[in-house]
Amino acid sequence: MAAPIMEPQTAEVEGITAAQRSNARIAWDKFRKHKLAVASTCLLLAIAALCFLAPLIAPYKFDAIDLRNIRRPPSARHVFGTDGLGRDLFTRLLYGGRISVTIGLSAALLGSMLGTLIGSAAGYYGRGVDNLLMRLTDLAYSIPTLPLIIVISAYAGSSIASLVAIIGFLSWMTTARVVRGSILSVKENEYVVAARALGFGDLPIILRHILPNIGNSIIIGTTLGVGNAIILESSLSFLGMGVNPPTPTWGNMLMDSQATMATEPWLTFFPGMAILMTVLCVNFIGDGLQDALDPTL
Amino acid sequence: MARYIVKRIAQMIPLLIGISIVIFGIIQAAPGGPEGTLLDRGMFVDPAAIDAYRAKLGVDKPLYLQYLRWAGAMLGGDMGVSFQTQRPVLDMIAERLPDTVRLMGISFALAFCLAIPLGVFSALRQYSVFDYVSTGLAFVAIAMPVFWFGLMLQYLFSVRLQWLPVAGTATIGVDTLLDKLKHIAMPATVLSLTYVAGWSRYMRSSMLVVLKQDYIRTAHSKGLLKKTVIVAHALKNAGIPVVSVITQDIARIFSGAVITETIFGWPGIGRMFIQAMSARDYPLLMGILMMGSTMVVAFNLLADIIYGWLDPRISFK
Amino acid sequence: MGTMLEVKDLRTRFHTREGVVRAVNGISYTVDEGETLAVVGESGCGKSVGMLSILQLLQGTTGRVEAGEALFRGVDLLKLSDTEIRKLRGRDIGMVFQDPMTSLNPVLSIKRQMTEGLVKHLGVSRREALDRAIRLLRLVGIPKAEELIGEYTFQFSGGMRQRVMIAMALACEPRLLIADEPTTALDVTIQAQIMNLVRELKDQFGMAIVWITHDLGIVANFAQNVQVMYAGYIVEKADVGSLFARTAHPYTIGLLNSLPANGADRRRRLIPIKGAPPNLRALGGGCPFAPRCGRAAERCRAENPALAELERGHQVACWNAGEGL
Repeated sequence: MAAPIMEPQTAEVEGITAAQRSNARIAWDKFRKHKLAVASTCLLLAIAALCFLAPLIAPYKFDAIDLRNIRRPPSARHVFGTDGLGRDLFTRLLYGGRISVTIGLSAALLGSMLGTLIGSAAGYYGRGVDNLLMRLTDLAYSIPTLPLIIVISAYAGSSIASLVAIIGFLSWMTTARVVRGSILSVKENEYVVAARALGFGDLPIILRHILPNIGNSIIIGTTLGVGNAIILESSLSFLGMGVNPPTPTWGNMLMDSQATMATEPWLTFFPGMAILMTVLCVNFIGDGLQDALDPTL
Repeated sequence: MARYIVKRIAQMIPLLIGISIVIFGIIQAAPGGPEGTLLDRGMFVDPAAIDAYRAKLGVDKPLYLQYLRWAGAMLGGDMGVSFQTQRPVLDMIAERLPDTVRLMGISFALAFCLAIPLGVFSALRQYSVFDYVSTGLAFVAIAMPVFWFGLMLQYLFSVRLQWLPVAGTATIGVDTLLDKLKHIAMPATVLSLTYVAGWSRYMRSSMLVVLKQDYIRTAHSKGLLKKTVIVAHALKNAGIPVVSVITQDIARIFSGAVITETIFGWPGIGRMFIQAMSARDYPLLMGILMMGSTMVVAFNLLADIIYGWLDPRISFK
Repeated sequence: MGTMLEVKDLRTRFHTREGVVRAVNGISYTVDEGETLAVVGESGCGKSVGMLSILQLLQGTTGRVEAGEALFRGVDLLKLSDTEIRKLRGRDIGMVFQDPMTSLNPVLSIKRQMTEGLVKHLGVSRREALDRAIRLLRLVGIPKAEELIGEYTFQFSGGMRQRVMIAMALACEPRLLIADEPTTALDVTIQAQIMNLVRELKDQFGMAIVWITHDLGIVANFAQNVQVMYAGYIVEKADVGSLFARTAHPYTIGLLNSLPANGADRRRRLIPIKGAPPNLRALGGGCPFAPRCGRAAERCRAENPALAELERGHQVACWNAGEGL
């Protein structure tokens, strides 16, 4: 494995891409066999398309108040009914989905990036750095996340960006531990030792050899992180600490509906179902990826 | 074993110091600094409380001295005075703690008692209908926002069927066990659901790995009863990785309690936290956060001890 | 002496996703009281699966016994219920497995693992079981047994663990000991110690032994009878003397030639058997060894030979046997 490093650049690149292509092929074949994951991918793409094309698709405007049609149960005109201001629930769900899914995706990406950074630093440099970063991870695990986020969001405000930052900054720990563990095991491999013996610096070694190897666990971790972030966002919104109305998110729609649940249950039911379906799809995809990418299975 | 426990306790101390620094940092980061949190509040705050808080933090002193004072006061049980009620934070927490501990304890026990057998049976009957159904339900439970599940339960059992009370710990003037059980049924179900799902999944996969081990075949070859092989030989091994997952979830149970208590009007720490949050009652918030973290660390220690008991190799390292 | 175990036409298959693995394909043999039988063959030839089959230890795998009988003192083990066979396992038939590092439970003390069988099968008190376990550990050569019995196996070396395994298998003084490659994972010196130990214990307990191994070299002065297995078939069986003197099956010859020799002709070259064992998912109709056999003829590839008597007590499954080697 050390040999390609010394060979001309092109040969190495070709060699790796060919190998990667066939690995991707194997993974894809395995993923296709996971029927639930494939179905979930389709459904999730459909949900995402509906949400992000909402301005084109939605039958109403998300803030169109219609006081003659308030609190209508689901009907042909309003498939999911209307809320206390006569706004169409289906429309608001689509718009809300844009925010919820965006926050979920971005926060999970941020969390994974941070986790990868911290985990690879700890795993690669070892000793003091490792000790310090892992104690930091223990610490972050020990403070109850939700209350901490609530306190921080009180200062940081509740814009979409700050929510992404807060959720992302508090959900890196699992990725960090996984990445650190993988690096510790990869680090001892001969090709990494050989690369170091050839005088390559630390960063190129990490980027070139270790990260591609742990890429799979990062992908899986990020996927599962999206679901967690969506739920966390909705919980914060539900507690009144999330994105402020009138911008709809699935979480603040649920908060609004709580008081009138006894009389207009559909206002509570549908946003929750939207979260459930989305997170379920994401998690099934994560499960499928795990089957497809984990070489130990 | 004793040495191992002492070692774990020694490791707890820097962790707690780290946590207190983070929490102190949050106070410092508040807009306008720690005393700014008092000034930008709209409502009336007893000037004496502000003075006491300033004195305790010693706002003109260097930061590390402020921290030391604050931490020293914490150690002595002085968590400051609530802005809202002007009462010591410690007293307020102590008042609410029993209800929270009851809810968390029952939920934890419920989750544990359901998740472990569920996971074991799923593993023993892999690919059976039971396995598929419990896997499916676990996926749904994990994908569901806890508070929404709570709301749905309320709608079904309180609004429609009217079997269970919507909120509270007991009906006023009634003091029966049945009444208390009726009140805690939904909150405990909601709080434990995610953990039942997560832990049973974990137990299942751990058990599947263990059942394929050579030592399980050895146990069978000795002619032990199936029950003995599963309970004594497999379960103890399979439980080892599950304990560390449960440990990590203890912190999350505290988060879950905040939500559950809010939905079901449960007068515990979590609900108090939300109330303190909307009133920007910082001393109370910090006190709760510190108390919650300490509880998490303490439970971690307990889990470590269980870990050491399950796996004799751990305490020898 | 009377027959203790009689296996008739045992067939075991694994139903995997990639197809049906024909692991054991109709083997028949007997084990007499006090006999030592060696079962020899490369890994994957069905020798272990055959043993696990008759003790119903394939539970939890995709393996199924499709046909056959396994009469142990007249009782068909394959027809026993789960509860019944569990009364027999460990009490009448003890087993020792290959890898002592993984075959003992890492989180239970040796005391616990030693005594549980005694308490269950013999109904003795825990106190009595403990005394007996300590005596057994002394017997297998564990020093300071009364102290070490409270320990866990991770504190023990491989050889010591295998001694513990043997003590455990012998706890209830079984009539039959099945040892599945018990020395394969051990150093050569330890291997010799363990084999000597088992020989001594056999004399002391008067039990029969089935010793599964891939090493034909170690059975010579250990077993009375040998049966060689290949691709789930018994291809040759004989008493040790006859087998070594008049080796008949090309596979057995191959096994002997690939052994490093002791003593005189040390300079003899090792001759490996060409090729690899066949895929048990795709066995054809011919002799399974034909693709690797230097003497394979038309008939060998078309028809699988049955075991046939070469001389009294020496059977071989080869079309070319008896035609002079």
